[in-house]
Parts: sequence; structure tokens; C-alpha cells
Amino acid sequence: MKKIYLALLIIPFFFSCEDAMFEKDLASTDPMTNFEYLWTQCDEKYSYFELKNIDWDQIKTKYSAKISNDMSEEALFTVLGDMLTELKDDHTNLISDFNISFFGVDQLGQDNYDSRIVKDQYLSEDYYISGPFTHDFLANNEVGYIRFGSFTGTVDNTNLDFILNRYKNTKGLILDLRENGGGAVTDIFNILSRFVEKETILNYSRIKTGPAHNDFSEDKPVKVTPHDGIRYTNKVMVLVDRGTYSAGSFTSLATKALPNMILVGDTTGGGLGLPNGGQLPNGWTYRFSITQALTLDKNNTFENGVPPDIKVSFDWDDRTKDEIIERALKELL
Amino acid sequence: MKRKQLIILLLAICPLGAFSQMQESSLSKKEIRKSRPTYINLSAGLNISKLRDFATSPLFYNGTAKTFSVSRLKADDNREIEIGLSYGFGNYSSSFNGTTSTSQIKTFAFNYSQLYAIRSLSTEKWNVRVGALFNTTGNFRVNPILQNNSTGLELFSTLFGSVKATRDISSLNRFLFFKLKPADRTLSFRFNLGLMNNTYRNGYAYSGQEGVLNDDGFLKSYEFKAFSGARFSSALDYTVYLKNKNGIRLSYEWDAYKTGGNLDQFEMSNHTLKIALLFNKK
Repeated sequence: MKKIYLALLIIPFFFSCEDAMFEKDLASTDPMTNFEYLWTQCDEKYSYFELKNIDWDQIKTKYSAKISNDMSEEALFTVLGDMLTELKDDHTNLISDFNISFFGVDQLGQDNYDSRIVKDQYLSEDYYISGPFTHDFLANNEVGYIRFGSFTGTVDNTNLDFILNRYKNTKGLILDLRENGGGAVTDIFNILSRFVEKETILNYSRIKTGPAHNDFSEDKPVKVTPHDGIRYTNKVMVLVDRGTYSAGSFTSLATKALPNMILVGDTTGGGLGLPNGGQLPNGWTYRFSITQALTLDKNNTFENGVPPDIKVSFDWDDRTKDEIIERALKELL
Repeated sequence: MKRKQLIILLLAICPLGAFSQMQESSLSKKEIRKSRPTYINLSAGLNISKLRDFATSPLFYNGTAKTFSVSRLKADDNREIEIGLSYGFGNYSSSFNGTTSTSQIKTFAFNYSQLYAIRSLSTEKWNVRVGALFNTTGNFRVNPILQNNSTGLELFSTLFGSVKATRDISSLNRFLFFKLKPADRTLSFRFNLGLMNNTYRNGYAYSGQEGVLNDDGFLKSYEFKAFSGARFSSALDYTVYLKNKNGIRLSYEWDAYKTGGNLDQFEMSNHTLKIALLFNKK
């Protein structure tokens, strides 16, 4: 009988066993602990230090001097958020329950989009909305205008079939990606598969594989294959600006490999790194880029923005027209 | 290190052949095999667990999960063979500094075990067996606050060396405050030591780049690592055999494992209370 009771005593024994087996509990609100953790995560996983010529060690020196044991949570958030802002990347955020840090790449260039001007001056009163797309005929039904404001992940064959069928007899399309901050990458390939006639390599991608700043996987091709159904083969003018970011920039980068798609407007905001996500010892979360997108000649500089093929800026003194749409129409007609 | 582990593994497995030769019986091996009692074991349990995935967070996530399993058990005094599947699900939370985050987890496991009696250590009341257990456990985790890293999947396959001691306690007529009816009863304790721990997990950056590659290869960024980490498990079983030869088993199981590596270590432990019905097939 005693042996049975003795056997039952092994239960607490196993709790202590696993405590010995696992690393210690690292939950902490200590400012320096959280600073060191975030700095190290970025140091070992962020993908664009070299391109952006960022001396991350110097950043550590600069910001660690601002850390003190008695600082408030809000003050700590400000220091950590400012440190991440040094990466000059809108894929980089610190997230707490009271604030979210960001860089704001769209502020680097002038604003080049006003939805009210597009609606007032270009679209009819009964323009169509198909899924995430707003669209209408322009220029006496000779051009189709498609506004795509966000990669919502809801692009599907039904809405694409409807739109491309509606504009199948036009001279060209305008795909407006201005101030499109990105979203689901699946939308990129669903859209682009309608504008290619053969399997095409769009660009290359590589991912961090080690802690050194230049530890990356081999360059892997990003391919798009033609959709087996309705496609569009005439010219497509893709409108972009500084607010065109992330999936918007990926799409813009891809157009460089597609001769019938032409970028019009301003340099995009960039954001060609895939952001990951993680948690700090104090429970806050963060994200930053861990991949690089490369051009067909294996260049990563478009992270700083994909340049337009035709550069055009908005004239805010004349609110009767959208200069970027006007230039796109000029190219198509 | 790997060489040492390989030697330990071989030393643990080699005796199995020898033990299997220790049976002294006038029956042929085929007759012994056919006469061995077979049970279908259906069980349900409740897990109290914790986990930590350093690849995404230094915080422990604690929670409870429901577990269901089915296995086929063939056992007599000389040999025990069990093959089974289990499935568990639950929510694990980390609540610290005003931030609460939850990871939904689904766990699948496959087990295959063979144990052989050691006659020299066994008596009429005691049965001591050694052998091996192969276990593959897969966790599918979803933690929305981790954004692009919100989905995690990991597989752990482990070859254990096992020791199991079973005590016949049929003569026991009282347990704590309860008076027991006469019945065949056993109490057993099994301890498993991971000899070969293999992991299949996300790569260095955790998120794969399949999405931006327009590549459907879901697990292409995953990496297989052999002899990585450590694992231990144990089971304390109390079994009562009924007059119809079926059985009821109450168990407390413990399982703890961790992967190797520095940045991306994964740690998990489970404490499970289970009740099982053993249906005799012969």
C-alpha cells in the first residue's frame, strides 16, 4: 500500500523535472531586457541593413543610452519604436495595447491621389464595384479604369472574369494602385495571371537563413503562369505613388518583367520584404522584414521604391483633373 | 555527441532480440502470438500543458487541452505491443503585463511500442519489461498576434528506450477511503527516455517565403533535424479488469520535449489525466 502512495508522489517530481529541462521563465518588464531582446531579434533577422547602410551597433549605442530602470512603459515604447523607425521601413512596427509605432513611407513624396477627383471627373454615376475593385469605362468606352485600393485577399475568378469580360474590347486598361498599402500576396498573382500569355519569371526572392546581416538563402525565382480562362493582352497602365506599398510594390516590381504593363506616377513606397512577427518579454509584439525581393538582374535596390516608367506628379492647383490618369490615357489612345 | 547517442540507441535495441528468446513454452511462437490477449483501448483525457516557441516569443503559453486516443494493445506476461493514434485540441494563453495572447493548438500523435519481460527481475507479483517506443507528435498552432508568423507547425519524432514495471495489486481491498471489490488489478509505471529526437520545423526565419514566390509548396521552408533536443515521458496506470475480461484504466501521463538550436528552440510539456476502456477482442 505504501508503495502505491509512493508512486503517486512522482507527479510533483515531473513538474520539477520539466522546470529543470526548460530554459528559465523570461517574462520581464525590465526596460533593458526588452531593449536587448528587440535589438537582437532585428540584428539577427532583419533583411535590409546593408542596402539601407544602417549601422545597427551604432543604433544600439544611441538608444540604449535612453533606457533607464525607472522609465515608464510609454517612455520605453517611444524609445523602442524610435529605434525601429531607424530602419525606415513601413513593414516595421512595435505594437502594444496603447500604441503602434510606424515609419510612414508615404510621407517621403508628395500626395498623388484624390479619390474625389477620380469620382467627380472620371467615373460615371453608376460605376461598378466588383469585389475589391471599383471600375468604369473612360474615354468614350475606349479605356477601362480599375481602382484597386487594397490587397484584401478577396480577388477571385468571378470578379476578374466579370471585369476583364466587360473591358475586353477596350484599347487598354488603367489599374490604379495609388495609395494601396498592400495586403494579401495571393491577390498579386491572381491579378497578374490575367496579363501574361506564358509562364514568366517576375523577379527573385531570398530569405534570411542565419544571424549575419548577409546570411540569405539562394535566390529563388518568382513565377506567374497564365490563367486558364479570360485574359487581357492589350496595354495596362499601372498607376503608382509613394503610398503604393508592400504587395503594391511587389506588383509594381513584377510589371518590370511584363512588357504590356507600364508604371505611371511616382516611385512606390517599397516594402519588398516579407514581414514576420514576434513577441517581446513584456508581451508587446513587433514585426520587420525577413526577405529581400530582387529584380531580374538580382538587384535589391527597389526596396527603396520601384521607379515608374513614366514619371508624372499631381498638380494640386488644378483639381479638375488627375494628371496621372491623363498621362495614362494619352499613352493608351 | 551524435555517435554517443547512436551507441546508446543500439545498446537499447539489441537486448530486445535476446529477451524475446527467453520464453520457455511448449507452444510455438505462432500459437503464443495468437493466444496473446488483445484489447482495443479507447481513452479520453484532459491535458494541463505549457509551451514556448523561442522563434516567435520568449513567453510561456499555458493551457488545457482535451485528448482522445485509440490504440490496439496485445499483451501478456512476456510481451506487450501497442499501436495507437491520439488527437488533442485546446487553447493556450500567455497573459503578462496587460497583454493576453492565445494560441489555438491541435495535436496529433502516433505511437508504436514493443516491450519484453525481463524474467530475472520479474516475480509472481512484479513484471518488469524493457523495450522501445516510437512516437511522432505534430502540433498545429495558430496565434493571430504573430501576424505572418501566426501559423506554426512542428513534428517531433522520437525513438525512446522504455522501462515498465507492473505490480499485481489484486489483493488490495482498500484504497484511501474507498473499499475495493475483489478484481484483477494492476498498477504500472513506465518511463521513456528519448534516444533519438528528430524535429521538422520552420526554418531560421520562421515564416516561409512560399507566398511571395507564388509557390504552393507549403512546407518547403521547413527543416529536418536529427538528434535534436531531448524528450522524456512517463505513464502511471491503474487498471481494473472486469469479469467479462474488459478493463478500465486510469492514467497519469507526463511528456516533455524540447528541440535543439539557439534562436528557435521549442519547449512543451503535457500532464494528462486519462480514463480508458479496454475492450478485450479475444
